[in-house]
Amino acid sequence: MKRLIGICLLSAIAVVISLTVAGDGETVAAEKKAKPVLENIQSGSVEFKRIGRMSFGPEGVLLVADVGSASVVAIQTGDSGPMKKLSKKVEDVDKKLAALLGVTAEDVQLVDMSVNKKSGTIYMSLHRKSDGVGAIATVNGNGELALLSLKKASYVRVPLPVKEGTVIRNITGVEFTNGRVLAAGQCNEEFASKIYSLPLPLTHGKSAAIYSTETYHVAHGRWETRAPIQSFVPYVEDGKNFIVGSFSCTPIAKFPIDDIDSGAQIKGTSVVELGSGNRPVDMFTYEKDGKQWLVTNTDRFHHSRRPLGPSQYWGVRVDMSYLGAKDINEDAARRDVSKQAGPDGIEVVESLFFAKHVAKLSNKEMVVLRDDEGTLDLEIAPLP
Amino acid sequence: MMKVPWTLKSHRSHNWLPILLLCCGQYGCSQESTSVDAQAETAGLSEQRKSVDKVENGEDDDAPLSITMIDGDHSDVEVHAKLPSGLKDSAMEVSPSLLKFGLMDESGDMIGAMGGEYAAEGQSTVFTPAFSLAPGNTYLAVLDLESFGSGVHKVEWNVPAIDMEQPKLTQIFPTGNELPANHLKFYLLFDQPMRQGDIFQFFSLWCIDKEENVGRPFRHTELWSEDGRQLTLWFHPGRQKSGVNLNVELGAILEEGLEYELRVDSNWSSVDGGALGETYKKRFRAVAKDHTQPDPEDWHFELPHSNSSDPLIMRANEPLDYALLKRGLTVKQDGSEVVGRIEILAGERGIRFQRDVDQWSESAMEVRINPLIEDLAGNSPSRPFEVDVNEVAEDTKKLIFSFELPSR
Repeated sequence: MKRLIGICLLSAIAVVISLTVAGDGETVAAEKKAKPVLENIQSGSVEFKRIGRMSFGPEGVLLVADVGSASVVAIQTGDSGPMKKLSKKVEDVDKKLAALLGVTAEDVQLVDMSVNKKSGTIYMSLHRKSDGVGAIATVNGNGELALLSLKKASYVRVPLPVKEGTVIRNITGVEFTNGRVLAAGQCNEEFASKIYSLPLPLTHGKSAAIYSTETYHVAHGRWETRAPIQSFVPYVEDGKNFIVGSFSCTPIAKFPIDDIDSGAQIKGTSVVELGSGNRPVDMFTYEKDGKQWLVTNTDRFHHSRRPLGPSQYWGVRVDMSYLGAKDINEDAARRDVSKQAGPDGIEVVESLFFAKHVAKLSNKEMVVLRDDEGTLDLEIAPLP
Repeated sequence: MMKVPWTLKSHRSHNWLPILLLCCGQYGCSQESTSVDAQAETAGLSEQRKSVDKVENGEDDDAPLSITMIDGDHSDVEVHAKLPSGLKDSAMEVSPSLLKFGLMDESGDMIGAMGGEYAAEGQSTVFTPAFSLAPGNTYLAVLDLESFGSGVHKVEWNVPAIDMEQPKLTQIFPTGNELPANHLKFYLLFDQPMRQGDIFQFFSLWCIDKEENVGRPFRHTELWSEDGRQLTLWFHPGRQKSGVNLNVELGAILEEGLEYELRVDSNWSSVDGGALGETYKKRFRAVAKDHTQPDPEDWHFELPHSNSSDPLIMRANEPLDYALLKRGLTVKQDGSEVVGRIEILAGERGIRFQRDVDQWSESAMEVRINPLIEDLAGNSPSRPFEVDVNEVAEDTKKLIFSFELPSR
């Protein structure tokens, strides 16, 4: 009989929780009535057929997309604080993460990054290329790396709904929001853009209550596109719920998600255009001096042809009052691509150059995973 | 056959030595380790194996560090560490900070400790890595007892590479050698699951006429089938759609009249580690853009005879999307959907529907075309690829057809 004397894995502690859904703070209103987040919680090993995007929710619940099995996994991490944010830069974190998985950095794909705003612990989803195994690593305030235990986890797995003959090929985001979990992705070979709404509590194995919507958006002048949402945040305007999504090239559009029926099509409204040749990566909102800002970082895939700054990885902040603008679609505000800022309320963020992933820590700081000539450094950076 | 790393989950047996060495190096090691090391240096392979087996079997109670396989698989191991004679009576346990296990670099150092679980088992601490070890690599276990005056102990562990089947790219769809200049996507089919993650470095589009690569033509989103054998490779839609900003600023990817080669690099590996070994190329000529919706009324249906199990054949008047053709139509007769299989005709120009059992009755047959079926430029019977959904009503073509079946 083995006796555990030490563990370099963060144990996922089974805690039956009943809590209010706070979502991501400023943009999500707390529900008046407490609702359990998870139901029919399983204990045991979690395996990912292809690990994907992540986000941290309330009470230590980590949402992880499993693209390979077209499902969302919610893991109780037991990580509820206290806050101890990263105290120093972690250099070559990609190499250290690879070592944790027993391979070299070339054999690991860093898929996504999220941070628990209660504890400051940073979570990274990793794909080991040589065998397709998915893993989740953590970085604590001291910069120490560990693995989240997936062998002794408390979790629920919720399959995303598909009609017969359809297959989900990609999941581009998963987020807690006002009383539900939202996911975005692509379905089938025609790659119809989808938004999935999963009501709380997330219940293991239960998908019947889930409904989905196909989305259109008018992104580029007069032309329709089925491009998938690359990154999104929940958004509330006048008591109505929206998804604010960004797309390649990079329109930012909002989609109403209240009172939609399963299978319905919803059309997005483009509100800001950030310029061509970019692929959005992450998105979050924060508040400063009473003003709400939307931050997104992107990979400028035409950097070599038309560089914007010192790196193909760059980011921008947008005054969220643009989301309620009357000028939309063809008349939507366009970033002045010849300048660092402009029009008013759209600004390139200097500290997001070289940022491959970014996650909000607070209204003052963000976690940045930064490219450093081919290796990756992890650090805290101030928000503008 | 090529020499490539051993598959992680392989259970092939190997006759040669998994554990290479117990060493102490400059640190000065325990007496027990020295004696095993000395045997290894002087007695040859069989003696090494004997020494290793002795440690693996736990017969050498004083060996401070050993590695054992789990279920005979070199990739799945346990690392056993114990305090040597004279120290173990002090009741101190080996802590995780003293025992590390990880991938070894070329200079013989550990690149970093692997994650895993530590547990006490009798007088030993047992470390079990969280992941299988990668074939073709050497790992290193280090037990640092220097602070106890007992030196630093190291054990190397080799995970052998094995001969692997070279993966093959068996088919690229569309198969035709003329593609519209607004062509959208390719399907790449492999005979084994390919390595996923950061794959776009392995694709290029060579313009034969201009003798240059086309800059960044692909959408960097990995879209895999569940079994990892089919990849959908998209041209960037933002450059293939008229009037879209990328199309305006950078131009379309393909120019009508020019010849191109889609190239898949030889260095791309399967999940098991075998590289393609050759660069795969698909040569095609870009022809006029296609903005016309497929119209099933222009297609030709070859009907089966009643009281037969003949196939239904649908012939389109243009190549259609390979993957969507596979669910391109459904057939009903006598109020029920007919169960059958779809085969794709040469050049992706249609479907052969073969019912699984029974025969067609004398009732009328209803054929329903999947409204999502597309041509190579993304136009479907329900809408053209390029349409302003705010201004243009969708022009859905006729999708349901009823046929009286001929009798023999």
